[in-house]
Amino acid sequence: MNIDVEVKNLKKTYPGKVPTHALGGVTFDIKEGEFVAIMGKSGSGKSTLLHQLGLLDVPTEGELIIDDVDISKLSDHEKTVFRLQRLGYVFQEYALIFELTALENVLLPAFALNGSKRSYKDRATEMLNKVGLSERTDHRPHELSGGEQQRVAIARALINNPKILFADEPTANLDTNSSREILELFKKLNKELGQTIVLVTHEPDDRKYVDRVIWMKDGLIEKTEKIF
Amino acid sequence: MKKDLKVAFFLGYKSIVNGHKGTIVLMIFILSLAFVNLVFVASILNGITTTINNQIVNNYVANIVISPQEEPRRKDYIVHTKELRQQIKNLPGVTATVAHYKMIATFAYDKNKDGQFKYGSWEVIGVDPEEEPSVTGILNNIIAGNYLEGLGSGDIVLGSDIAGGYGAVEEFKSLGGARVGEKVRLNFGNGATREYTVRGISKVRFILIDQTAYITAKEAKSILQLSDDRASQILVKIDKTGNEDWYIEKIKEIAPNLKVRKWTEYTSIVGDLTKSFDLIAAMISIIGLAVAAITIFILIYVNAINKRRQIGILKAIGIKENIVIISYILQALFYAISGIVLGSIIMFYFVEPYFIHHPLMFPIGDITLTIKEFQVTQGVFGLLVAAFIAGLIPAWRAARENMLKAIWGA
Repeated sequence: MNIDVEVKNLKKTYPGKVPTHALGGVTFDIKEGEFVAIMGKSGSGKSTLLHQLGLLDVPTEGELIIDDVDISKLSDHEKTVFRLQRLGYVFQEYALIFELTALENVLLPAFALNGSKRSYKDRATEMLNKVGLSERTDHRPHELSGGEQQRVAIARALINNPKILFADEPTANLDTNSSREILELFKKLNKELGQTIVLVTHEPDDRKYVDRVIWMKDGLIEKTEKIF
Repeated sequence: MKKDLKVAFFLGYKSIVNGHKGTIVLMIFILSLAFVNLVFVASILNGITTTINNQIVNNYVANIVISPQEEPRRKDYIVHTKELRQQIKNLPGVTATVAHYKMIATFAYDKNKDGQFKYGSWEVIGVDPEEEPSVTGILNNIIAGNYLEGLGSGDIVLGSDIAGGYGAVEEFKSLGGARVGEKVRLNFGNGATREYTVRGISKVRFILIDQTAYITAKEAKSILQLSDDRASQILVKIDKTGNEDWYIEKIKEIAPNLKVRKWTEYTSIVGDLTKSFDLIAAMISIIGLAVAAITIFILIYVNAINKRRQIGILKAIGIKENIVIISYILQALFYAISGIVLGSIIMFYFVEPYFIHHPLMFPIGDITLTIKEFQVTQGVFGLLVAAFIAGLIPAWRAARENMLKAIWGA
């Protein structure tokens, strides 16, 4: 099985009067088609790690290779294009563009990548179908529930067929039912489409959905737990 | 780039269409007022100088003034005026000429008929009542009584500032209320004394003209004891103001000894005023433009700050910085163009017609707006440039911000 993400001695220090060492040097791999959870207590460094993996932040030190590309060699502009082409990201809060409908939110990354809305409208509709929102395509974010918004965000993250889907505590603001639906959706995407997924969560119960858990503590990997 | 432009246009369009309607309307309204302010102030000041120029051309000296020989020996009159005027009339574009007879007289008026006279010295011009209306507009500005008629020798038309009681600039110097039908006595510079009946009062609200009295040419010639066709001055009216130089050259060819002047040489009294207004107009335009630019900047900046989380999200999902920046510039340009369109509607369909029907009453005449094309173009271009810069800077700053800080507001 190919390796999608290769992390070597990755460190992140936030400067300040007293520098904060959020990541103290982590090393691990994520294989193609794997569903991995990064878990740990608050302040353990799990979100910081995901931000580095999702190219939302720049590590202080270490090596990060995603889909055979050494990320440290990419310019800011190249990283933006890389994110658009190969990564999908689902935020903790429902990070939708409130002036766009559900369909337009999903369509936006495809439009930005290919310059055509019309050609990708069907695919965007299909993605919304996949997340169970075929009836809500023309609704704007404020007309959708939290769970529905998060499903739109997942459809948006998948529109460009990303190599890896990152999700940063996507169920943190959802009720139990909606949380379960979202995680089952992730599981389904992983099983049926072979989608590589990296999920940050603090809910121990979420372990049952994933293949492997990377436990974080004080900015370091405490242990790796194989579930399946 | 075309692809980025399409996405930027899409985001900008959606932001406008689905944005907060009240904010959008307010932005456009503020920008329309900024545009109106730019054009209006300049137009009012233009209106003042236009009124002054129109007063001089239409009521005072027409386009060209021919005076008697000054060099090598000064003469009092122009001779053979009939022949000269005929030759000038033959020039293409000359619409009319008139001969004037100018004198200074001391006016005496006994308001209460008790022997207590009020005196004052003013200019008296002898005019042909039939021909004069083709060159000057005194006939159209009679506010009491009638204009001169035929060859009558006992009538006089007084400028309102001479008669008094009509809101003169220097009311205390006037005759204190001479009215139509009353008698005034004039002592002319050559010693002649005549009594006239006030036939009419003229008022054009321009001090140079409202301090002038008019008698018939025949009467003037009698006072000046002129038996042949001589005149103090010939005024020439042409069909297009602005083409005077060509006619001046032609008239000089016809009568090389005479002094020929363009009407602009008679604006020295208001020349400094005009220059000052031009300077004020330029300064106000620059300040207005700066205020408009700052207004757009603040509006777009507040808009961008309010949407910094959205900008962060856009970048996080892979939307390039330049797409975000262009979308904000397009929004700023939309607000500016809408403001210009609304401002133009306000200006051309409400403000300008209002001032045509309700002109400002100034001592120099009725002031309406004079909207110059280049000033409108300058306003439009200025606002668009201001909008571009005001859209670029806040969007650029917001787009350059760290994504995580923008999304979580850290």
